[in-house]
Amino acid sequence: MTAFTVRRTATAILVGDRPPHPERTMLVEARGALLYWDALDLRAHPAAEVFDARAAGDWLWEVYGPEALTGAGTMATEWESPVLDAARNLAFLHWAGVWWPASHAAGIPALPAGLLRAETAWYTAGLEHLLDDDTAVERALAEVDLGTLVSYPEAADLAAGIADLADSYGVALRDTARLRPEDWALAAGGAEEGLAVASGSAPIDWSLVPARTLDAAGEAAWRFEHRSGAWVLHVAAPAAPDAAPAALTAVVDTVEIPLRLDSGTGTFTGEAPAPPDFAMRLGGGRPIQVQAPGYAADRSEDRAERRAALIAFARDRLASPDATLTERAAA
Amino acid sequence: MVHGLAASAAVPRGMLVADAWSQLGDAVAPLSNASGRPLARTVKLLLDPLVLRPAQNPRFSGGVVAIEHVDALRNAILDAGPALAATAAWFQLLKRARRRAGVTEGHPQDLYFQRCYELAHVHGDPAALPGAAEIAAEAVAEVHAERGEVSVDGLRRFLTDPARSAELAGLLHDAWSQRPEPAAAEPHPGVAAFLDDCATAPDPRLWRALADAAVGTAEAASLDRPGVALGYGLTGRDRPAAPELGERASKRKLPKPFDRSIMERLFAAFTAWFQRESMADIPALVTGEIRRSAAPWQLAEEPSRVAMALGRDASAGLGADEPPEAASDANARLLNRWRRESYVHRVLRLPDPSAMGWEVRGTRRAYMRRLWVRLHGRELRGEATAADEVWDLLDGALRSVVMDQRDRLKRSLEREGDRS
Repeated sequence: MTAFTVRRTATAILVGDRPPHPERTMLVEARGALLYWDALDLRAHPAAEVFDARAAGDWLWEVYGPEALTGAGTMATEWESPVLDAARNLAFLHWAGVWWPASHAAGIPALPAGLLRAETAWYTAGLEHLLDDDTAVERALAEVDLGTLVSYPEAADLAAGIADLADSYGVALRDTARLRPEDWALAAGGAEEGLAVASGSAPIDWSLVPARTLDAAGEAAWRFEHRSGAWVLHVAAPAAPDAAPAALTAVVDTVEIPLRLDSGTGTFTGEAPAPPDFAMRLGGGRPIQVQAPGYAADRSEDRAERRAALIAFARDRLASPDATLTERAAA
Repeated sequence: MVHGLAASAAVPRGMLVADAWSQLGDAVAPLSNASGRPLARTVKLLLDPLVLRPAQNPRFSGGVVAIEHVDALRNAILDAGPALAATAAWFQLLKRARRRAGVTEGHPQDLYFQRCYELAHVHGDPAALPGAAEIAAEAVAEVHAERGEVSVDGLRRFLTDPARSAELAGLLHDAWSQRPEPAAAEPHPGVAAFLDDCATAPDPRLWRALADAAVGTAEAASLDRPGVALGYGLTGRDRPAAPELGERASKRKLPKPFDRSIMERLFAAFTAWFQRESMADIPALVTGEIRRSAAPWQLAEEPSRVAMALGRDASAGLGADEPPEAASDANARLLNRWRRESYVHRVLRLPDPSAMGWEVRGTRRAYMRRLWVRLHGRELRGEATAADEVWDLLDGALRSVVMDQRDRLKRSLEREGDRS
């Protein structure tokens, strides 16, 4: 039984609440309503913001059941339907595509991106009659590469289903055969080290960087060192398993250091000459932050706990009997 | 059902259709999605126009169906069951034929659904029919031959034929030199009234009245004043000028709508929509486009011009740092979609475009361009716009702008990654 309070505002009917943080939010953009599940408070049915009751009236019954939402103030439902299942899976895959906390440090493997895209397309097609975007299936199929599915025997049915969808929607699927990505061994050291006179580190804030870049449980570290007659700031931030290259910037004190993915070591690294007065201000440990343009810092107090909770959630999912094909392939 | 969303003595139409559809079983699976519901295009191209026909059966129209008509709706679908099953079987055959013929153009559902329904009526179920595969192959060939005649190549040959260029240039010159002096008019109160109701209870009489009163034409009068059309994003010039005939066009670098050559205008519509069978032949298309370019809003039909005026008002404040208070319900809904989008960006872990130095204040101009392109396409395909389609058009244009922006953000992240 899922129970929600139902409230009306000037522009919407609110069923339950939005999850409190973006990284907990599993979203489906439906016609006339947003549906969301909270990763840290998973229920059978989604909360919703119905902003166009006329459009949503056509399909809301498939999510909550025809009898639900009849009482004022609250609603309770035990409705089950294939559409509800598809919506829950799609919401999960949307979340996993961007917030899955892949981490060497925490032992959370990356999700296989090709399989994730294919499964996303499959559930998108299962919901096409109620999605806001009337080209959602075509868009999702355009992301799929059939070649990435060949190394997963368990995905044979999915691959056949996707090929049939592509025929029905007139999308030419990419098919570049590729091998299953190997997990890197964590390489040690590497670059020449100078004489470090100061160093520091801080947990990575993953709300500041795009998906599939940094290790969700990693720490970014800086080192202030003297090398070949010059003072340099060296920064290293561990990459997520199966990370994609990205232009990240580390900020240590007032110094900005561009970082590059070194796939040999699985680390985003960078160096910059330290300004002459840097050494003067070394007392009291400099903070380090790794960021990408357009991402706002999450300053809330509980972000470390939230991150730990999401890592625990991901770990549970990998062992869960109702995990998606994508997760089972990763585990 | 959902409290306050539906009258108690009525049932959501989607629920009735889903229920009746599920009784048709596996035979209609090719017309269904993986959840067993009819595809969006099955409803749009088959169930609505050919089976339920809400225009003839008002009792089946709207979001909810009164209790007393529930059985009739169910029976209408069940009665069509054999025809729909045969349509589904033909669709499978046409898809196979399409694959064999190596055709990749167009959307198979758009192109073949209604053709399959015809085949189902003429031949019945293809399973029992010798030669069904050949019939399917012919149908695919026919659909694509019809479309082939009006091709981009044909268009280019026609427009660049030296024997014709003087005549076409003359037509263009005349159309533009004979443009009537625009009459300034007071804003029509019906525009705001229609925008208040179009998303919830569109008034067909008001919609017709706005066109009959040539409100769209009147609202176009200011476009010739310096900077007005520029401000709407429809041209890069200070005032609109007569277009070129044009010799070439490329999908990547299309100028703003009013700056497009005749060639580019038709080219854009050819490549964006694959329903050329409903288009006129090339000479008529070209002369029509020349006349259209000189018309108010550079559109030929009054309802399209009204829609531009509606879109202009409904999109006020989109992308502004601090949007003004909404002037109508439609305006409020579009502003809400825009606000929702920045929430969705955070959930999808996309960067904030304004923090990346993107020109989000250009959203309204992008919106006006998208709306124009859609209306232009509808005119070329001869699609009339009914009162209850206007909101979908106004809202759909913004959705499309927003989704393109998302795609561009995703691509820019990937590019950043490749560069580093």
